Amino acid sequence: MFEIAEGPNRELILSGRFDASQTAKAKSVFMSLSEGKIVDFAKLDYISSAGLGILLAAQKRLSERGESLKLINVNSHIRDVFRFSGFDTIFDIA
Amino acid sequence: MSATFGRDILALPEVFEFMGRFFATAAVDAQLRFAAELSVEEVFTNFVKYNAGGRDGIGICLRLDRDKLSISLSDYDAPRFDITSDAQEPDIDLPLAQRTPGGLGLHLVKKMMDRVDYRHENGVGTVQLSKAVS
Repeated sequence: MFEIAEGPNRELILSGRFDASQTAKAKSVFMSLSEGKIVDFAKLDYISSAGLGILLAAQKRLSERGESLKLINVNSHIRDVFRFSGFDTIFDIA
Repeated sequence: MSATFGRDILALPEVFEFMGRFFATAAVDAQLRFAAELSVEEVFTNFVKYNAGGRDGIGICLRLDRDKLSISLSDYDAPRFDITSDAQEPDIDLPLAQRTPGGLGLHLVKKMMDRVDYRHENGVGTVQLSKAVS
């Protein structure tokens, strides 16, 4: 199960498992962003390259407007995935 | 423990449920389980994407020995595609504007597992993965 919700400060809260079977829901949210966002990973248990691809596409699109995604509360397993992918240098991970 | 799954990305929840049943009785840490689930997803989706016309399902076999987790994924009715040598490695040092997601999945599998082997026999492509149990 994968969910995306908007938090009280308009941040995006991801929860569950962001795998290749869940990309349609995520794509519709991330590709409609017109401004930078904080994305809270505290409740996200898992991400694969399918999820990374959507985050990358959103980050590239936002960067053309001088905006970006900022990722917070990223667990150690997901942090490893970002590091192995070189995504730790193209995302602001707090 | 082994099972065969439909050749469809939407079969992934069923794959993870199968893995969940395996790990419920296997004493492995969360890091190894994460690496195993991600590696299975990446190889499984690679089989689905690049052999969409395959007639049969995709087999997955999980085995835990005292010191090692072994995973085998079999793509029946598959052309030869050695993921250990035929897949293009992504350049993970490129700046954002030049980055593409292509190739990341198999790159992650190689990073997260200790060993990745491929063989192709009688029309069956098999990826064998293993990682030490700490």
